Amino acid sequence: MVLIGSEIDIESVKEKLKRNEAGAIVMFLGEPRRSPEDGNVVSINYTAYEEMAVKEAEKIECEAKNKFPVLDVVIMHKLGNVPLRDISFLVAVSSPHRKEAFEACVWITDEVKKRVPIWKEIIYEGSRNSK
Amino acid sequence: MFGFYRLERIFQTEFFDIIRTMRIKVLYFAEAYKILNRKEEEIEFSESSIAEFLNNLRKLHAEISEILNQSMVAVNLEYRPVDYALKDGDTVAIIPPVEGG
Repeated sequence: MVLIGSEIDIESVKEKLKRNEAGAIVMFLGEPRRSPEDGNVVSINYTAYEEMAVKEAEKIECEAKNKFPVLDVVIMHKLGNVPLRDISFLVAVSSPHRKEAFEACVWITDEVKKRVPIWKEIIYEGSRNSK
Repeated sequence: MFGFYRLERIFQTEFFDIIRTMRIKVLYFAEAYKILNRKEEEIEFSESSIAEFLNNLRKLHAEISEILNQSMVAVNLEYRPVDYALKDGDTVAIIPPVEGG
């Protein structure tokens, strides 16, 4: 896993995952959102237990490679303030066929959200609050 | 011989376990960090399991008791169950419900 403070570069991730054997690359991009139930969100501030987050995500990558016939996995998470429309979280998977790539991408995304020690503070228009 | 062995065992284990204290480094994140206004502290502790450690921590920091009830615990960067035995010098991280993504 890569934890970064700058923009997530989707093109470089795509290049990293390209292989002659890869018939599919599936990518999930997470972004902060605004909706009636979320309120007037302007950004999300992410913090992490960085050393453990990297280690736990590496475990998830290894488990995914054992569980699904995937060729490569990239997990990236942005830390610090992420405004609406910016990418905060990326999971990308390459595999020979699309079905395994989709399944692995969903599984990895869920596991990261369950296990990797990253926290968010939601920033609302005009005030700072966490939710 | 047996009696001597038993006495020796008592001195080696049970007796010294009672007086032995460990130094544990505790890390706080997210809401626990905000409430306590500290990222870490060192705590002396004489029991052994994570469950007992959390009970002591609840007494020490009642203000984060609810967070402790919801948190997972990592010891030296690994999630551990509440019956896990701590040892001197361990780093214990209190991991409130994670919210990445």
